[in-house]
Amino acid sequence: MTDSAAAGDRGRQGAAEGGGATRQIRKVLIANRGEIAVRVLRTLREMEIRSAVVFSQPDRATPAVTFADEAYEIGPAPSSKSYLRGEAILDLAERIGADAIHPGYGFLSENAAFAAACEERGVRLIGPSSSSMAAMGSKIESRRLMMAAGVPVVPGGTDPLPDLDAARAAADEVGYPIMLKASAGGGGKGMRLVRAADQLESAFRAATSEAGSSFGDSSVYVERFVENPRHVEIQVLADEHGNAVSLGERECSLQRRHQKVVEEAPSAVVDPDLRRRMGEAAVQAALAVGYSNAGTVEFLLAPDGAFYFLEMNTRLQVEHPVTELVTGLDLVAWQIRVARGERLDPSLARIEPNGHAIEVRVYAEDPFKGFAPSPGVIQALRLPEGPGVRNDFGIDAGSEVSIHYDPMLGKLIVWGEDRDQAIRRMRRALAEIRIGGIRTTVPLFEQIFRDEDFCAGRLDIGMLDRKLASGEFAAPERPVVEAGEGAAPIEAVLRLAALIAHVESQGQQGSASGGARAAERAPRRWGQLARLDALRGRR
Amino acid sequence: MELYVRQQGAAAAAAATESGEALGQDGRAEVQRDLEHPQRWQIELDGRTWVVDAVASGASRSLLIDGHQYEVLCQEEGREEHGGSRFVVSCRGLEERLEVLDPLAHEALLAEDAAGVGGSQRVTAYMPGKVVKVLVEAGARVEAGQGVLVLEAMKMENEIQAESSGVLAEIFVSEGQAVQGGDPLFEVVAGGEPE
Repeated sequence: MTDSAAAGDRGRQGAAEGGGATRQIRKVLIANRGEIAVRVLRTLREMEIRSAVVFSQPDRATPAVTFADEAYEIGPAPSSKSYLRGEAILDLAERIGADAIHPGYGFLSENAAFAAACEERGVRLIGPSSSSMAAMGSKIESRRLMMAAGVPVVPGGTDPLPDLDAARAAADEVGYPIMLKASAGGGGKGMRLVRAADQLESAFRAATSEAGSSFGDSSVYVERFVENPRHVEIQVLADEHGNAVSLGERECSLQRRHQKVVEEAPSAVVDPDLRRRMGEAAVQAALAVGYSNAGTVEFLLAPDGAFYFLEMNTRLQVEHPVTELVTGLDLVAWQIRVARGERLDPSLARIEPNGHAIEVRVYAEDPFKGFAPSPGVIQALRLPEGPGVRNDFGIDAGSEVSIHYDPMLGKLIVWGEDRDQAIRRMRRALAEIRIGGIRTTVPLFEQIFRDEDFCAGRLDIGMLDRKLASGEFAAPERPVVEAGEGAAPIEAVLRLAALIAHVESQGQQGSASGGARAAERAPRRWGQLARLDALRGRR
Repeated sequence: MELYVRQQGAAAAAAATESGEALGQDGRAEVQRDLEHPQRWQIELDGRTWVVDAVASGASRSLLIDGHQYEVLCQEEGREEHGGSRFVVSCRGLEERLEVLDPLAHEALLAEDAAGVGGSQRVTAYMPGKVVKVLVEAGARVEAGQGVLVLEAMKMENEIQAESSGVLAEIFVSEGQAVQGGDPLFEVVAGGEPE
């Protein structure tokens, strides 16, 4: 394989390490930022592998840099001039003698051209080969490959339909309800839901004309419309020796505009038999493209238990920690072991999920103002601790949340013996978390984890958008947690706190006599102390 | 010392319209701080007396009232020209925007209210972006929560809403204009008369 040749070129093909490593990885360059850079750095330190990161100018003071052994500025804030500079990152890897690059997620992680450039220059990319990436990168190509490999896909065809008669025939074959989709499409343009045959004619006309005006290509195709599906995905791990295993599912149905918001493992509706069948399909999908390393096969799960291949993410996922918590594995460590040429341990195939894990993605957005981005300086930070709690964050008190990057601050993940305990634990953790100075999505989670449907496991991919649109999830007018018996109403507590904060920040004494004089003597002292305290942000 | 605390935003505007004297009656507080034990406070608010033990704790404040503990996150948003300070205060999932005023500032606001100009709310851009559409003309009446203009930032269109009801006194930007974070967008004057 090209990989062994690459390691040979670099003269690093030393003695095989434990587990059958065929090449050494002694220094890894991380081509990413924020929480995922920190996540990878933690594993590198545990494996005693030297770490290097690239960083953009505004990221200099972030934990991604301060956790690393080596750090190199790669450019100004915009991603296109920093984290997306593949050639510059490869030059740097060569210059500093990094054996491998970890791309994290986003940025260059699913860029097949970058993967190919790494292969050419003999730097290991910790991920699949460029050809696996390319095969899974195309919707139409991957669908064709999956059908050939016997992986279930949503019934329908990607062949453009020349006219209404062809559309009618295709729709009858697939069965209603169907979705008309633009061949050149994306972003919902040129898409029409058709529930019955008598609606097809007008929908076909509308979809073709919209496709034509949006993409300059009016062709459309037919796909079965799966009603109220769940998003359930399978974590797979494959080595370079033709072995692949499924590490169970993650339920990611709670989405806002197709962006995952809350993820959990296992899914409340996947039983051992379904888990085995979905796992087998996912392994087939990986083997069909000669996959190696960690990857995720996404499925739509219909209410009747049928599941359909959606796409494969050829990288580490944001939500990988929930799988780590229920399997006890370090997926980043396995990524590196596979990249060293090691074989998968056969015991991996026998892992069953232990307990239940749930993750929330904490964004710097105001959930009750249309998710408006909320950049700014994090004035204070306290992350929850205690039993069963994990934080994957890439911020400190004093960090600035920049408008240049994804507004995700990090992830809060909990583990419980079962789903009910995990939910209670998340409520407890949400009561502990404090992120001051900016708005975050934490208030939304406080409602989700008290929502009857969520707690009962009744989820589908449209649920969150529906509850946001209907106002069921909105800025609370009552405290989420009521004060106990004999306690003060929270509204009064808020007012008392504001009065106290005002007096303290004025540096005045509350007594009528001493007030004015104290204010003259030390006008801003209290305020400064309070701010210093906040900035220190005891966690 | 005498202080006034009042709620900002939509709820406050609604309350003011209903009672007409939301500012005058409730919200008056007599605040006393123990000189020897500065974390101890006695606060009279709306006819009740509260004995509060308050300390800063990490990112937040811990208030002890009659043995009940409340952890309150209290972020100062800014200081008004008239000397009041604005806070975003939250506890147990409930969040309010509160303004604390000294008697002079309170009186000035009362006078403004009596004159019918009311408090004004200046809305600023929360981040750099471009104004893609202005939805309301200056001089028109707007309700709290009503969209006034659309700001495109981070490739997303965000509707910027009036935070309180009143008259849209001024729009500082025009369609197509680029703005920086913090730039004023428009100003709503509570209780004003439409032009």
